Amino acid sequence: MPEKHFYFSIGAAVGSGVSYLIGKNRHKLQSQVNIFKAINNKSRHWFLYFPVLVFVFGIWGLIPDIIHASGLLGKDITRGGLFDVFFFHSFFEQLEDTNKALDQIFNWIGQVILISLSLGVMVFYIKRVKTIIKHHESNKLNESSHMENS
Amino acid sequence: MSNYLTGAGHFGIGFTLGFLIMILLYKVKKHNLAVQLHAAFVPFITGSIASLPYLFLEVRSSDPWLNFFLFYDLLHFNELAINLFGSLHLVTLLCGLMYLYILIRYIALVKHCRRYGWRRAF
Repeated sequence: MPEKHFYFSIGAAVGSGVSYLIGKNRHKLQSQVNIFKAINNKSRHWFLYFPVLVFVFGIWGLIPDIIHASGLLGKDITRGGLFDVFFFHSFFEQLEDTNKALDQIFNWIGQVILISLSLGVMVFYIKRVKTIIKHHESNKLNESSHMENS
Repeated sequence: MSNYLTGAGHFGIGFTLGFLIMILLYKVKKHNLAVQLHAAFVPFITGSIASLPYLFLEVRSSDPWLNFFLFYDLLHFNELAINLFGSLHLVTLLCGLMYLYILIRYIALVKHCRRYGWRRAF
C-alpha cells in the first residue's frame, strides 16, 4: 500500500487549495459570513494560522489508516467504496494492487507534495513579512514628507 | 527495526542538526532580518544533504567517502543512531514538532512586523 504520508499529502494539498481560496476572499468572508466575522473579532491575524486547516485536511486523509491501525475495522472494510471520501483511499489502494510499481510512484509523489507544501508555507510567511515592512517604510516616508510640507 | 539507518533516519538527523544551527543563528543574529527570514531553510538543506546518498544507493551499501554527506557512512550502521532515528513514526513526530516551531516563529515575526515594522529586534 502507498505509505501514510501519501494520503496525508493529498489532504494537505487540498487543504492548501482551500486555504488559498479563503485567503483570496478573506476580506469578503470576514465582512459577510458570521463564522469568519467571529474569528476576525477574536484575532485580526486569524489567516496566519491557515496551516492548521492544511493539517486537519491531511489528518482526514489518514482516517482509514488510523481506523485500521487501531483495530476498529479490518483492511477489507477500510478498502470499501465508502472510504473513497477520505481522498480516494480505496481507489488508490486498488490501483496499487493491480500495479505494484505504482506504490513507489505514489510515495515519491507524496514526498514531493509534502516538501513543496512545507517550503511553500514558509515562502508565504517570508513574503508577508517583506510586504509589511515595505508598507511600513512607505508609510514612514509619507509621514516625514507630510511633516516637511507642513 | 532494520540493522541500517533508513533515508528518513538520515533526514531526521540532518534536520535536527540544521534545526539546532537555525536556533543558534536566531540567537546570534537577532538584528539581521535576512537571517530571521531565511534561517528556517537550514534544517531542510542539511536534512536533504544527509539523506541524498540514500536516494541513489542500495539501502545496505555505504562507502567511507559518503561521510561527506553529514557522516552518512558513520551513521548508516551506527547502533545508537538506529535506536534514536530508526523509527519512522518517531522521526515524523520529531520533524513535525520542529516544523511547528518554525511556523509559530514565522507567525510571531509577522505579528511583530505588523505592530512595529522592523525597528526593534525580534
